[in-house]
Amino acid sequence: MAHSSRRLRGPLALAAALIAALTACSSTSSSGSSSATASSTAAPGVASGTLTGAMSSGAIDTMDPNRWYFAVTWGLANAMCTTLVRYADQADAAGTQLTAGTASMPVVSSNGLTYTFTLRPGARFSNGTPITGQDIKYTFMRLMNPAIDTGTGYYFTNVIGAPAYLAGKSNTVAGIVATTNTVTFHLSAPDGAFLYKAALPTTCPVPTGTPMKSQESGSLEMNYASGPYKLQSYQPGRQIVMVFNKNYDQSLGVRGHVAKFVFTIGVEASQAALEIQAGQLDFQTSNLATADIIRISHDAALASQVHTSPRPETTYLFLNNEVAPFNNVDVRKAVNYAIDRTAIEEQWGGPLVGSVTSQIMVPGALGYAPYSAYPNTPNLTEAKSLMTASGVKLPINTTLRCQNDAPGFMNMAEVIKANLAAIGINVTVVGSPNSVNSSYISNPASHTPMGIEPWSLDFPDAEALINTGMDPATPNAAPNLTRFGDAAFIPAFNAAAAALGTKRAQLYEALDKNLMTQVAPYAPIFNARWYDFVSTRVGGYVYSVAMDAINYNTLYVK
Amino acid sequence: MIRLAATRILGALAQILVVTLLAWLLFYVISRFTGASPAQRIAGKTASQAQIALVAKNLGLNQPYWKQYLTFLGRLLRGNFGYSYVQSRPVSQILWPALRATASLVFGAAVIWLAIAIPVGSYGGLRPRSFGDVAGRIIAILGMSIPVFWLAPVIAYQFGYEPTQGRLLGLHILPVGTQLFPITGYVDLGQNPAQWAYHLILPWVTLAVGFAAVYIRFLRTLTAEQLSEDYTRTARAKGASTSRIMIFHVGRNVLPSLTVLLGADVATALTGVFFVETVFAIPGIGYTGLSAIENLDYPVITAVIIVAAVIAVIANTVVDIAHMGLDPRIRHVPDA
Repeated sequence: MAHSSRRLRGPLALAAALIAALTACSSTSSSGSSSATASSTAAPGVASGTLTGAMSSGAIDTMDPNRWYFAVTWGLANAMCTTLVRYADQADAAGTQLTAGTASMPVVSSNGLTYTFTLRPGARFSNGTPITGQDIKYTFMRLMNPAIDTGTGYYFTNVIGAPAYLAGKSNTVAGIVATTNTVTFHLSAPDGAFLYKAALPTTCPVPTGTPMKSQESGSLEMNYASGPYKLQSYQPGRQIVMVFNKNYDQSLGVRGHVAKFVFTIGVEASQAALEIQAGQLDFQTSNLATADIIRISHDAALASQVHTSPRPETTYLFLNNEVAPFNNVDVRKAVNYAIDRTAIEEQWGGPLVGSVTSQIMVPGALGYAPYSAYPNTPNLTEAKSLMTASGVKLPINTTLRCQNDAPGFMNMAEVIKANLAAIGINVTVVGSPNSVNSSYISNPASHTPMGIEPWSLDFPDAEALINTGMDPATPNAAPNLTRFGDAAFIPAFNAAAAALGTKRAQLYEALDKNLMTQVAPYAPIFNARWYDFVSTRVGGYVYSVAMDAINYNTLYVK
Repeated sequence: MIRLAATRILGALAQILVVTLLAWLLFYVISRFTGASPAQRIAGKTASQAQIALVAKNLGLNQPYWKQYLTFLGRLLRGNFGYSYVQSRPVSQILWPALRATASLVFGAAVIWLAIAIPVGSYGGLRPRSFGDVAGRIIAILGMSIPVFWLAPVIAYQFGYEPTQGRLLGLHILPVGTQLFPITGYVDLGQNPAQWAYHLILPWVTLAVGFAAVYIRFLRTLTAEQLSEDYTRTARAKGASTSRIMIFHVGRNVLPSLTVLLGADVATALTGVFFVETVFAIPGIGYTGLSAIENLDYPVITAVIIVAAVIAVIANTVVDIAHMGLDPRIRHVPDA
């Protein structure tokens, strides 16, 4: 989930940090077991060996391929699904490039309103049945169906007929036209991010007639996987076994080099790191705990087993633009000048785990051009000057809400509290478990004045952050925590969302700067990094920026 | 005796009914005062108010509270805890495996802590201020002082990880790569009893340490008290051996108190072993409850609380009845 769910931060994370700190007392080189056949590279189309993975207890949100939304399930989706178009199995920015999936790259009409996909000959489900255009249409209707939708249906509301279908006024989406080997999408307005949306893991193909009711047994991935892997067994809360899909046609892309993945569910991150170091485990699906990052990153003997990459994520201080005093632009700017981003990020783990930022966009996504709108350390002179200019009566009492069941948040809140006291804003920090906090602040009726939230992008494009997170046309939308509703910005938001290619990037870069320098809807703090620690048996490691997870398609057993 | 036991069981049933109501009400209080909404969480980040309302309707959350409670109670009476909002499967399918895992952990640990505490505590009571007694008391103080959230990862590290590096308690005495104990993991008893025990040894020891410490102190005091009683002096005067006095005289009088304590502690442990379950990746009831809280999965949370309460009530009832059986003074109290 763009805010919170795509990343698990909860009591388990708190336990993880504690445990990591307690066990961070020794570091030696990993022995790394080597029970499987050794090889130095992956042979195309040949899958061998078994890799074992661990995931935390709450890592699996659902096993219905049109519903999954957590980062871990997106990682699995990348292995078990081939969407119409998909992300290249490459690291870093190259991994955000789209390539042909079950269909060739589409033919797009000159007005940008029609996308025609032709299915490729090798596209079939793991039971051997060919994937048809009708299956694709049904898949999109299913993911949009309110009984199934977990949030991504929203991205297809500009498909003609989708609003009527969502409202229950039609039992089909008129704007999706399917034949046996083609599927055409007719849009009501140009959408520069449509291909990214067509690659969302929730568009994972399912056969026509799949019940419009959540299927949680894993049966869909067992029989109708379309990627290089399929599900062999699923024991909720216990274990997932994913095996090579022999019916996957490698002409769709050479992927899958491991015969079997065995995931144990319910392993806490720091314990998993210890098991990897002991050679009892090959990888884990969670980001490394901060204490482990510090411990392992300083051990030269483990350097080849540690992989890090910027995440498509930002952590920010949202300021409710509808609630005093943050309905005053000068106060919002003053906050941006007053906060000590460097000190706040130190509470999270420091430069090793992320980079401070004062811009909206995140590295690696289209529309990102680095700039600095505000200082990393406080400029109190400027901040106080803005407070004076704002005309608000000091002192101001307000509330900051954040989650308290993951390490770092409450500490960051305390730094912000101290920073803002210096400009006459007295902050009361209210912490609650993530499940409660995220639900509360998402509700516009709560009128939450300010809070700290992470946001990870659903696809590597500015729209997934800027439009989804602060569309001025929908200030009361759940993800618009700032309740940003400045109508003057609506044309710029719409123009950027409709644009393509270079123009799109330029418009979003400009929008990012204009938003932060002119109206400062919130205060960006830092962009986190992803850390993986894998056993010596793991070859072909790639972090998928688009999925915010390990790319299983490239892994092989050394 | 039978009448007393029947009264106690009826009382327990009434307690369970009250607890179900309280457990259920708790979440409506939470919803009302925190604004937390499972419908919002399930509908996703981009959901409109209409979509959230639809999810709420599908979950039955739009019904009046009293109606929701009656529906819930009706299902509960048929042994149906409802469906998990998140996992979309019956709560019972989530709950019972978790309960089995936690029971495996707690009952195994109880055997260990009793096996340590009974000889050490009894010896301390029998030979106060002896070397063995002092050593036992030091061990007890240490055991009580070490928090389980520290002990669990340390035990996993020292006995799970360190042997793989050729070390045991800091000494290089093992071949590198020795797998003494698994760092985490759980195997069902029915699946493989040997692996079940092997995977639970470290968690058992971890959980047993704190309880053993308390039991050592408790048994030492009780034993010393009983040894100073007239009946033990009489037994000695009549020439009874120490072992006979300890087993047939002191033991018989200590047993009812020990049973009461054990019942209460097992009930507490069954619902309070979150850290041990977390560190050793045991998919038990505590971990299940916490995951449910993270996801606002109300049916699972409610079921966990109800099961915890039922365990406590049943444990207390069983202990009371056992106490009556073991201690004639209890069952002969008029109108007890």
